[in-house]
Amino acid sequence: MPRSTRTGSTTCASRAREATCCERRPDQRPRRRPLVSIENTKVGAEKRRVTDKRTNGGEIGWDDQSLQRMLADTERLTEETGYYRGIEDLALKEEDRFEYERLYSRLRGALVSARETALHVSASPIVREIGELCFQIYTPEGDSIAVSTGIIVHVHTGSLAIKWMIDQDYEHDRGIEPGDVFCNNDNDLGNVHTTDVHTIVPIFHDGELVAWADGVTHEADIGGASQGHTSIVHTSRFEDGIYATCEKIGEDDELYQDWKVRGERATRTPMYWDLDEKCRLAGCHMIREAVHEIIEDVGAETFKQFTREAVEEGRRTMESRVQERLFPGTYRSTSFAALPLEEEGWKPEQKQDTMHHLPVEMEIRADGTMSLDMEGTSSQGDHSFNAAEGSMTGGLWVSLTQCLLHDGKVNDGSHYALETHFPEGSLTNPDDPQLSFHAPWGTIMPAFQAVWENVSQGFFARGFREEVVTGYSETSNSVQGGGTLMESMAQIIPDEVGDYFPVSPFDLSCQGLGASAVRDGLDYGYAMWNPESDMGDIEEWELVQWGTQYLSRQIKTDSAGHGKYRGGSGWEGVMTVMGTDDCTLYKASQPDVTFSKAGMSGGYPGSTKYAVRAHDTDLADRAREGDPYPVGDTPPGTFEEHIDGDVTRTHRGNYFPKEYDNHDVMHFQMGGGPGWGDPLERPVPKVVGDVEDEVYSPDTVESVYGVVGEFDEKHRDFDLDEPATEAAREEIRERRREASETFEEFYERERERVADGDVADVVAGMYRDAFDMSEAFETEFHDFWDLDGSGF
Amino acid sequence: MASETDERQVAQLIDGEIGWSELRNDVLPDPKDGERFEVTRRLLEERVDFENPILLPLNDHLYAVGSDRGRIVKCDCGQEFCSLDENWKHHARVRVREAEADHREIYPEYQTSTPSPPATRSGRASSPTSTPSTRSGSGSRRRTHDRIQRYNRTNHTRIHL
Repeated sequence: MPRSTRTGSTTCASRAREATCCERRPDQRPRRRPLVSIENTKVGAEKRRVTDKRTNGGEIGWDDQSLQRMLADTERLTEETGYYRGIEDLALKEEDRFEYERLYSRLRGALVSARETALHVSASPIVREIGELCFQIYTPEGDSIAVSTGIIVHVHTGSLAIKWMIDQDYEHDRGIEPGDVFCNNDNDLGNVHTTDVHTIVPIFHDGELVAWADGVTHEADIGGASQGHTSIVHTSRFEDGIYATCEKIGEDDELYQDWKVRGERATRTPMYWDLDEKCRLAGCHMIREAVHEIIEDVGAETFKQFTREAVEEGRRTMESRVQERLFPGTYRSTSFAALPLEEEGWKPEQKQDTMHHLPVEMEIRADGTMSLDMEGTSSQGDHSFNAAEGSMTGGLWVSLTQCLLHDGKVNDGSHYALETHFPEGSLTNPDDPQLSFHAPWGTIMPAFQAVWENVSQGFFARGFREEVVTGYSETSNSVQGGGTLMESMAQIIPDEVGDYFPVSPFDLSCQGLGASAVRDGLDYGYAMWNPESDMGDIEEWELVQWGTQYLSRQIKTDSAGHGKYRGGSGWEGVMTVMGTDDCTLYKASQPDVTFSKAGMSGGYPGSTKYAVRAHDTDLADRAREGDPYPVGDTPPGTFEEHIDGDVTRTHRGNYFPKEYDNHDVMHFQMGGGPGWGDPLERPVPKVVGDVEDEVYSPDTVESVYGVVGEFDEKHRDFDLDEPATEAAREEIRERRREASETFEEFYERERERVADGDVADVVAGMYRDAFDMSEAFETEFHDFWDLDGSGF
Repeated sequence: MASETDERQVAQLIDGEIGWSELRNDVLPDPKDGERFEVTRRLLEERVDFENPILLPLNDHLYAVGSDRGRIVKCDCGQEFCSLDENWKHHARVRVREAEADHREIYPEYQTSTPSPPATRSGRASSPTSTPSTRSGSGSRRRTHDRIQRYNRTNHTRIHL
């Protein structure tokens, strides 16, 4: 079981208290809180103005409207006209294009600047080193105007939270005033996963709310039943940790004392929590300053008009890109996600192996609009893979910004150009906020493999084959956990005695990207949720994960999906535990015991993941004697050759938290991307290069690519046997003819299996669940297999 | 019409011969070549032996083409699959790798799907009308064809890519 014991007197929490100044020094006099204590004079003046206005019955929206009225008008006008708020003419843009673009650049520059500056406030390497943060600015009604670089998955999540606050009448009830600070990480109201925490700050000018700033960081830990940032252990909201549900957490530019105390006591890493929060707040205030300066320069009316036009321009940009680059039609693909928890599950309701069905139908229309329909998706469940609608739209934006909208001009205008259908009560739109939402990426990532395939087919048909992406390796195996340093280690790091250290390296952000239709995929360097992410230096992780040490990082041979253009390669690593009193580690794995999706045009998916770990080992003896120790598991099974101990190897890649003693050893691996095209069409010199670069083993290239030769491993030299290669390629072609069957034969055989229920229980269970969720899908399935109600 | 440079680039894209530098600096960034679709289509027509006009590429070897029978799916080797209204996969040969040994040809041990477990009935009785798995005669193919046609008529008005 995970432990979060804190011992000793100098804990992270105590240091956090020093940092946050929650406690008074004995010689300090109690500070009397003035009526308006905002140090920022502009915001202080705004607060007095708004207070006067509200006292006299005024509203904080534009032209003395309520925010609810503004939101209703925006939705009505957009629905009626097809243009955002009915804006048919981009007057400001047409009048002075240079000034318009300057304003956009200035605003987006402010967001990027806020991100680049504020991340240095953070202490968490996830934020500071990997850049897992993002800043957005929204209209008063909650429509995204612009977004910074970073985890751009959050283009629309803040929108949902702001609109929820407006719908709940915060402006009249809880109150929305200058200097207020709100926080949300509730996925059901607008977030991606629970460990993404938002700070939302209203921006006022002349008594009106002119915009909202929103900053989001990915936390190392938010409390919860298990350690880590993306836990696969949880079964309900009550295990997820801290939830801030569009909560007001401060006013007058200061965080409430009770909120800060809550963070100190309710997370395992209070220092990271505290400094991440300061990072978000600092960034939001930088954005607020920038907006004030822009308004001072161009006037409030110009700024307001600009924000409206920017959203409408976003809608038009989306439509024009779709028209230009995607061939109209209806595209369908399906992804699958395995969740094998029968052996690992802790709670009775989670001890089962399941598979999730993630069908995606997209309609690309000639007018540039699109729809995305996931009818037939599996139901929500007692696990942490539930993805709220906001999570799914987040996945959509982070995908579209990489393939259609990569010039940075992405905002909620794009949202208005797209219809989505995530079935209520499904994995992709749960109707129960009491579910766990800790690891929705386990649903988002496989689901968007199908989206990318659909969009890529549209690119290819239109001639833009360089934009094709066959998919990606999903970002795991994520190693997570934590522990406490032992006393002897404290002699080396005296200040850290007894401190809890989190284990949450972002190695996982460097997976193999899928091939395009013109080249191989990027090797070990891609994360679908943050195109700017990197794996971070080993030394950086070891600085904060005091009790763990890396033994290696190396290419994972044979992980890249095969094809004429191969997928990007994955990699593997080995980690050990040293100097800890207690340490628990676990691994979330995907794709686990099944492939999520195939490659394209004859290409193959990247390999699946598995698990190897060794306990009670002789690593210390090996280190003393200078003997070899495990640096990988390539080919699989070789890990055990260099370690003696209790080795556990499972085909299943995930496992729940296990106790790791000092010198226990964990293996983990990052996956390869899918390939494009027939492997036999891959030029032989490229295959030779793959062997010499250790992307593929000689055995694999012979059986898949028909390339034969001798590999001198020491000198990394592959001596090609051309006649044997020619013969092997012809033999593979012949075997294809022999081993294949007509579609009719395949169909009849499979139909009988379906009719008899002659498939694995988890597969039958997956389809039965999808039938329960969707009569339309059940009808289509039974029509296709001509079952007349029989079968599973 | 695209410029000569564009045609060279498009040909290189089709042949997989474009360098990373040119791809990164000239092809991937916006704005895109407005004539890409037509240029690609024309270059592809020059590379196939058949005379049918290519309407659009479906993958590396299949095309939607015009014919006397209307729009059809045709392979660059000349094989005609079916009408564009049908799913071409229903007219292709199929190979299923199910046994672990078949997987081992492609992926090392542990790096592929869990080998098929023995089928365990999932609580629902087998269909009493199910037929022996050896059935594969022409009558069966006829019935399959009818089933698929019926399914296509009722459900598939879309283009299958």
